[in-house]
Amino acid sequence: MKNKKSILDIILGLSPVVGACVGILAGALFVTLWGVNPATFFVELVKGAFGNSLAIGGTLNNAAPLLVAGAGTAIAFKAGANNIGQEGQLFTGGLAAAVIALMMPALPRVVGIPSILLLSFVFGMIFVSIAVFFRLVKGVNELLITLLLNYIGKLFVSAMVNGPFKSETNVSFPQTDTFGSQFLLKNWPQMGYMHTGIFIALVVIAVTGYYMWCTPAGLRIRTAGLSPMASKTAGNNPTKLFILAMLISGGLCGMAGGIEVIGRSDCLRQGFGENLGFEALAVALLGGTNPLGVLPAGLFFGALKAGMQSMQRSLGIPSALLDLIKGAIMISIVVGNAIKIHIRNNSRKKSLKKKQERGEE
Amino acid sequence: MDDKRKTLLEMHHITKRFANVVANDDVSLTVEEGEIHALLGENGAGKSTLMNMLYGLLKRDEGEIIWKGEKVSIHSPAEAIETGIGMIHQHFQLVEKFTVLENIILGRKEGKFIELPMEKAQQKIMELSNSYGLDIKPNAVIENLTVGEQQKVEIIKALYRKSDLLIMDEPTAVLTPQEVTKLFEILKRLRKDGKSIIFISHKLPEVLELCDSISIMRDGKMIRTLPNSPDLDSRQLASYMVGRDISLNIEKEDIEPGEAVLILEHVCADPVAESPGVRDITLELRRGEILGIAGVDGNGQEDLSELIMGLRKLKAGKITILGEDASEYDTKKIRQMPIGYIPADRNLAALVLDFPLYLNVAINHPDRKPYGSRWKLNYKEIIQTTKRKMEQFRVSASGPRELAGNLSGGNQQKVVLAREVGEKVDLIVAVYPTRGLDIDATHFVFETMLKARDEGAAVLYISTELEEIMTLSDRIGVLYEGTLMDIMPGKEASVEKIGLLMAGERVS
Amino acid sequence: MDMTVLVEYLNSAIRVSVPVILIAVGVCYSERAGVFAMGSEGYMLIAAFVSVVTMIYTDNHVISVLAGILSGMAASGIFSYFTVVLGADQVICGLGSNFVMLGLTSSLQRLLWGVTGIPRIPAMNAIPIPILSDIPFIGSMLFNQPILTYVTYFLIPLVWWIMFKSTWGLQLRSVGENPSCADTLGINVVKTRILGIVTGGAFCGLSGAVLSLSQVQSFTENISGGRGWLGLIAATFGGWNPAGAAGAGLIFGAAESLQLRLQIMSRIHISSYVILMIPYLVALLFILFIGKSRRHPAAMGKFYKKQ
Repeated sequence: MKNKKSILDIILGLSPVVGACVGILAGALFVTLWGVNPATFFVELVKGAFGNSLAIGGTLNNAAPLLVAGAGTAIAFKAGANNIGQEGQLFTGGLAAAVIALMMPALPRVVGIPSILLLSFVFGMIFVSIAVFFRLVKGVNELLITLLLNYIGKLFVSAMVNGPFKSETNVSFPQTDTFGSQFLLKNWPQMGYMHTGIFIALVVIAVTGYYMWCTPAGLRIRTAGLSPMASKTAGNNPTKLFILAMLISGGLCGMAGGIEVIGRSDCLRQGFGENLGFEALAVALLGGTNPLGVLPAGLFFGALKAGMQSMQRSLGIPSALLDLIKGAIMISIVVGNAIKIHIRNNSRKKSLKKKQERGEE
Repeated sequence: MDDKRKTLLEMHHITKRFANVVANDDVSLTVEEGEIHALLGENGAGKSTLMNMLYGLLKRDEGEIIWKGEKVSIHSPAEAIETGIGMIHQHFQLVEKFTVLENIILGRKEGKFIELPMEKAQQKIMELSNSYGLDIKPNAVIENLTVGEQQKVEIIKALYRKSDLLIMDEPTAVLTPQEVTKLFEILKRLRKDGKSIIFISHKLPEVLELCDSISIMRDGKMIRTLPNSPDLDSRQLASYMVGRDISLNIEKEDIEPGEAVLILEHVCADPVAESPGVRDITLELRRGEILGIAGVDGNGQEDLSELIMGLRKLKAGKITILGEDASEYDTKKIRQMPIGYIPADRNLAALVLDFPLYLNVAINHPDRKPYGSRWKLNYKEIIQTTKRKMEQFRVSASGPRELAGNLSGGNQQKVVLAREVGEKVDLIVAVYPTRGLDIDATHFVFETMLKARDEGAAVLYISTELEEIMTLSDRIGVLYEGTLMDIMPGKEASVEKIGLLMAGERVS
Repeated sequence: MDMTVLVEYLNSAIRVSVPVILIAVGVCYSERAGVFAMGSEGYMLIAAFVSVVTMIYTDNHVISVLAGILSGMAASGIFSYFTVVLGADQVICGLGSNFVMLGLTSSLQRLLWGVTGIPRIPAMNAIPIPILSDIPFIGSMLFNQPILTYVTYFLIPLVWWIMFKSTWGLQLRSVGENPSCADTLGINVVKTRILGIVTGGAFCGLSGAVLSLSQVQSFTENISGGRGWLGLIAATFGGWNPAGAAGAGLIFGAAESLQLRLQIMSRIHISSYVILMIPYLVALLFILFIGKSRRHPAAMGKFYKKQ
């Protein structure tokens, strides 16, 4: 009986994998409309993501910001905070890179890059704190506010790169002047232009993973997320923990924006982080809102993105299909969770009943 | 005045089993037309279960219901309403943001397909309101009404649905004395009109004042039904209610209590939602003694415990714990002291059901040895400590990694005990620690409390179970409406005496 | 002269706000029933797409609008199964369905018309109502509008009446406020909630049809562009009352229309992106000043499971 239960648990634990499969299968079925064989879809997807060094580099570069922002999102969700404003936080974080690189161009590399990372974290934090303010002072759920802030953040960056930060040399696209090379993350052309962002992301994953799972503070955040009452009785302040989690979350999303800007390009461009925010949200869900789970989820998503991008070139399949896959993954994960809870409750009831029957005999 | 009363309702041999208890054991009840029938019993005696079955909220396992001489099957509240049964729950089933009128017509089908029968309904409501002296404004919004007015809305709601039988679950629990007087007038008028009322209560004086017949339940069984008469008095009813067979054999040595651990001086806390708050309580709790706090549920038990634990704001007075002035302490600071707290709601306040046991054991002090330090959780130690505590507290589970939600109530409570009193503590605050537990687990809780007491802890034991209080306590206090009625040595206490205090009658 | 500019502006403000108003009304129905309407953006998208495609193939406005409404209802019906029957997280499920709709419409559009884009469809011209449109000021503001604007005029009082004066409206509101109470009174909570969501989906569908058929006269990628969220916020400000929500929607529409105008008037030296922010900033200011007094339906976002 014990064995049977653990098998059930394993199957239930695999629900993110099922979610990912549902998403990709949805994509595979959909491409048949283009006359593409689903098998070709899979082959091309893998090729586009891992086929050569360029593909692998693309995958890893895609993954870097997703991992950082995904880890941040996971922390918020673990605390029961509904941060869905990743996109806005990411964009404002990217702005920090321009602020440092353009306003203090003389900074040396050792100081420049860390201060960009730090300031983008701070920008993200400031941006998310608007939502925290509304929640605490006005009692408005952070969902709506973070969502609104997405648009405001994006447009604010657009206004900046079309206004005060607009490049005087390059007028073809709204962007800033080129940053000094000491502000850019090192990349390796022979590795498909892979940049150091992925290493920063790994460090972030390690630190946040450790923080959430191996420190008392992480345990407190998780407690508050699962049961605010129990958190209170244990002597914690759930409100404070909510603020803490939101700030860390917003900060990491901001930092993801900073990494994307100085990793992918040499200046701040309009719309640089389009879709990254909600992809990070999907990554966090796929990773079971656990920073450690975010690692495979982020890499998976990075690969998916790279594969879809290459498929657009090779098979003419629109990259918008990625949105469909992303949505399908999100839905199947939460539906899977709901079914999981249902099964768990049922088996709990059954085992109680069994115990009672045995007790009566 | 009536020679021949017709029988309205008969419930025959009703039995209901829950997961671990038999809540109703072969219960029968007969209600006549035009009578107010009291259903008397302690908390957990099975009154609400019986009534919820009558109203279709619960499914009965055995037995039958006969209504006006015919066998009926009631599987849902809608069917109960159709039959002519109305129930007024202790927690009113009203939509707060709706008007009185909207609440009353909600769910009725007699209106046209689309349009709400507003005017017709309003007329009818006014008629009902006038004829029973209910004084209801149909367009007032529920959340702006007092509790007493909301209750009247519930009564009209039932009358509007043409109920012949009104079940009222603890209707006076939430009312002021003035409102109670008014309610009784209304109920008497209803009786005069031929309506029957089942009046669930545990307040003896009220029952004696109002009711025609009295049925008494204890431990899921119907003890007896008797007509009300001037010869009947509270003491007699109390003895039926609580019984005499205190079957808990606990050996307890006498200890001379030590220094005071907890001192409350005129403490007060504001009432919240449905609890009365704390009103000017003064008490002293010493090492090596168990102070049992008896009282009917909802008389300030949780308020008092939460006040001590810093979960509630102290409005006035002074709290001293272990010689420190703790009046301004928040829960975090209180938790730094050697105090064990067993909150009333195990599932919500004590445990995180989705956490494994070892995390549940560690959540109070994750940064303390052996669980960890400021920046590190020591999982190896946590799991080992949990294992050790599980053995010590006889928790039956597959291991420390089992989710708390998978455990039975008794085992869950043992985990709470292991966390809260597993280390040496000087003060234990326990609220309803045996609620929902089987005999074995209950005994285990007793043993744990007594052991802690013998080792020099001061125990504040809050419970609604009189037997437990009588068995365990060195001294006994009674809470009523947020005030402490009296504190007496355990040996001087009698069931009758405490029962009367619980009902709000001061014994001089 | 100034007067005509103002009238013209107000006329366009009303026209532009119709989609937001319709979404806001739809959101009211879903959220009054106790379910977050996070998916409204997606329903709007699919409806905008479906109605344009139908228009191209049938060349019939009525059928196209109906097709749009039906697609919104179908999409929201699926969502309601996941959230109300299965109990999946309403927020994530709604967001997810938005992305599915975005991906679906964008890639189908590419598939059907390649990079050239969807052909433009015949416009739904403004139809001045005789006599009424001759009223000075108000006439040309209110009664010189495309037909779907008139439909909206008619719908707002109707949906208000249904929500507050009909038996069904009362039941709908009760399951969003206190589902267990509704249950004890014999109301089917799940069925009522699904109906609420699907009604909301129908309004989002109509909104999408108005946007693509009457305003853009084509389908472009992500045509809804955040109107779903503005509708969500308008419903919040309107206190989940269709009339209030419509009022708030009108303000957002006015802001959007102002933004369009300011963009055209190049004399004014404000970054066009700051101008684009106006509706969102207006929304934030709205919350800042009146946010607290609004209380959402008590059971909103909570899954109800029968005992």
